[in-house]
Amino acid sequence: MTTFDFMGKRKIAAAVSIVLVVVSVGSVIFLGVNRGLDFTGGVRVELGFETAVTAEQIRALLTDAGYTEGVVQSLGSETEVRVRMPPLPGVDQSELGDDVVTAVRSGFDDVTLRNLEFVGPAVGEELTEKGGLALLVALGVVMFYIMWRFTGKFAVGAVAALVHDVVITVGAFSVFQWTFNLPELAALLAVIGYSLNDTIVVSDRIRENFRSVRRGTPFEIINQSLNQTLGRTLVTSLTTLLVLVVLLIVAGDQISGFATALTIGVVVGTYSSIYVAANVLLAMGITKQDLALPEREGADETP
Amino acid sequence: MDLNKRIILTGDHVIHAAQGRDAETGLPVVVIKLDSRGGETMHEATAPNIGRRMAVIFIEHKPIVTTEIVDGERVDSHSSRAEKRVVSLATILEPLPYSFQISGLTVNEARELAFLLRAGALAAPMYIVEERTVGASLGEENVERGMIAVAIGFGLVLAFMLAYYKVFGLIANIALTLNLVVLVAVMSVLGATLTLPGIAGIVLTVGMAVDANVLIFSRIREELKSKPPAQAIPAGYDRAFLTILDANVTTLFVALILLTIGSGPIAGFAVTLSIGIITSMFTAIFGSRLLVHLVYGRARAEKVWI
Repeated sequence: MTTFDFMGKRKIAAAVSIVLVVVSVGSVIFLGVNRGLDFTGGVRVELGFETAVTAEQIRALLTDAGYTEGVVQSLGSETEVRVRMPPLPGVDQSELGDDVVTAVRSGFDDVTLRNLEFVGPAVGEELTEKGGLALLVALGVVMFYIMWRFTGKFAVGAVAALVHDVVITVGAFSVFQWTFNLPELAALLAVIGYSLNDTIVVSDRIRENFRSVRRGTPFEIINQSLNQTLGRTLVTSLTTLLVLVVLLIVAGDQISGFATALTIGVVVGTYSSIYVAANVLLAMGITKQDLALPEREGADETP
Repeated sequence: MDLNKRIILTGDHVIHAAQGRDAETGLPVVVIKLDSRGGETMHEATAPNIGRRMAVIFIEHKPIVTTEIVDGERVDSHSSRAEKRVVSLATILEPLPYSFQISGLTVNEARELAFLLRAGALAAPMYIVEERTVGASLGEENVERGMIAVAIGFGLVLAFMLAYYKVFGLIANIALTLNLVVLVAVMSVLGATLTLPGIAGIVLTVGMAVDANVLIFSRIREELKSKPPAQAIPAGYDRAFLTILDANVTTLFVALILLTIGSGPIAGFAVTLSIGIITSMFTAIFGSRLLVHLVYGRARAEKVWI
C-alpha cells in the first residue's frame, strides 16, 4: 500500500479546484458556450465533390456570398465537406441550405448535395430545459440517498465533487470554444455517472475506516483510505481512458467532441474523487461520531 | 409482350402480401390481401375476364432533379422516370375477392413477388427531395465508427485485466463479455436503436463493470495479506458488494430520473445506462463469483493467481 500524504496537499488542491471552477464559470458567463445546431437550430449541409477541395476554399466562397457565421469542416476525405449554419434572422431556413449550395456552386461545378438537415431552435430549447431540470432533480435525489446511506456531510462532499466535475468539463468547452452539441451533452451525463461512482467508492472506504480504525485523526484516516483505494481508482480510470483514447483516435469528427468531453470528465473526476469530496469532509470537520455505527452491521465489519 | 393497358389496381390497395404454400398442393404461392375497395374493384375486374391473364407490374420512379437558373434564381424541378417491369403474369381462374393467391411459382419467385407487392404498397410515386437525405447519413456512420472504437477499446481493457489480475482477470473478462452480450441482447429485445448517447451509456457501463471487478479483486488482494484464500475470496466479495451496491444504486437513480424526465437523446442514454448497471451488477457479483467458486471452491487452494 502506498503512503502518500494526500491530505497534506489539500490546500494546494483546493486552490487549484477553486481557480479551475472560477475560470470555468467566468468563461461560461463571459465567453458563453459554443452551442451547436442541436441547441440553436439551423442547417447542416454536407457536400460532395469530384475533386479534392479544402475547407478554406469553401469558407472563402461562403464569405464572398456574405455568410460569415458558417462552420466548414472537412469530413475525413478531401472530397467531402460539411457546412453548418446557425439560423440567420429574416432568412427562411429551407432557403439557407439552398443558398449555401448556390454559393459553393459558384466556385465548383461538380458539387453534389449529400445531406441537409434542419433543426428547429424550439427543439433545442425544449432539450435544454428538460435536460437541466432532469439534472437538478437527479442531484437532489442523489443527495438524499447519500444522506441516508452515509451522512449529510458525505452528501455535500459528493455533490460538490459532481458539480466540480461538470462545471470544469463545461468550462473547458467554453474556454476553447468547442462546439457543444447533443453528443457532448450525453458525454456530460456520463461524466456525472462516472464522478458519482468514483466518489461513492472512495467515500465508502472512508466510512468503513472511520468505523473500524480505532486510532488516528480524521485527517489520518482519510489519508489511509485514499491510499487504500488509490490502486483501484487508477486501474478503473486507466481502463476507462483506454476506451476513450481509442474513441478519440478511431471515431469520426462528430464523436471527437464527445470523447473529449468524456476524457476531461474522467480525468477531473478521478482527481475530484481524491481531493474534492475528501477535502469537503475535512473542511466540514467530519468526526467518528458522524458515522456512529448501527449495532447489527458492526459485527461483520470489524474483523 | 403485349399488355392491355387497363390498370385494375395500384399497389396502395395491397394490405399484405406473403409467400406461402398452397393448402392442398403444397406448392409455393403468394397470398395477397387487398383493402375492401381494392377487393371490390378486383372482383368487378376479374369476373368478366376469367381465362385471361393479369400482370403485376412493378414501376419504380427514379427521381430526377434538374436545376436551372432562371432570372438569376435557382429553380429545381422534380420529375421522375418510371421504370416498368412485369414481375408476374398469372391466369385468372375465378372472380377474385379481397384475398387471393397467385400460384405456379418457384419458392424464390414467390418470395420475390411477395416482396415487390409489399414494396408496391408504397405506390404513390415518391419524389425524394434531394435536400433531405441521400446516402448514408453521417450519424449512422459515426455510430458505426463509435462502435468499432468501443470494440477495440474493450479488447484492450480485456488484455489489461488479464495481465493485471491473471486468473481472476480471465474470470472478470468472461463476466465483462457476458455483460456486454446481455446488454446488447436486452437492448435489441426492447428495440432500442443505438445512438451516440447510447454509446456513451455503453462506455460508462463498461467502465462501471470493470470497476466492480477491480473493486472486488483489489479487496481480495488486501484480504489475502491477513487471511488464507478460502476466507479472503468470500470476504473480498462480501465487502466489495456493499461498495458496488451504493455506487451502482446512486448511478441508477440518476439514470432513472433522466429516463423519466429527459426526452430523445437523454432518454437514449438513460435506457442504456439503466440496463447496463443492472446487467453489470449481476454479472460482476454473481457471474464472476460463480466462476471463482468453480476454480477455487473445491480444493483448499494454497495460492491464488490474482
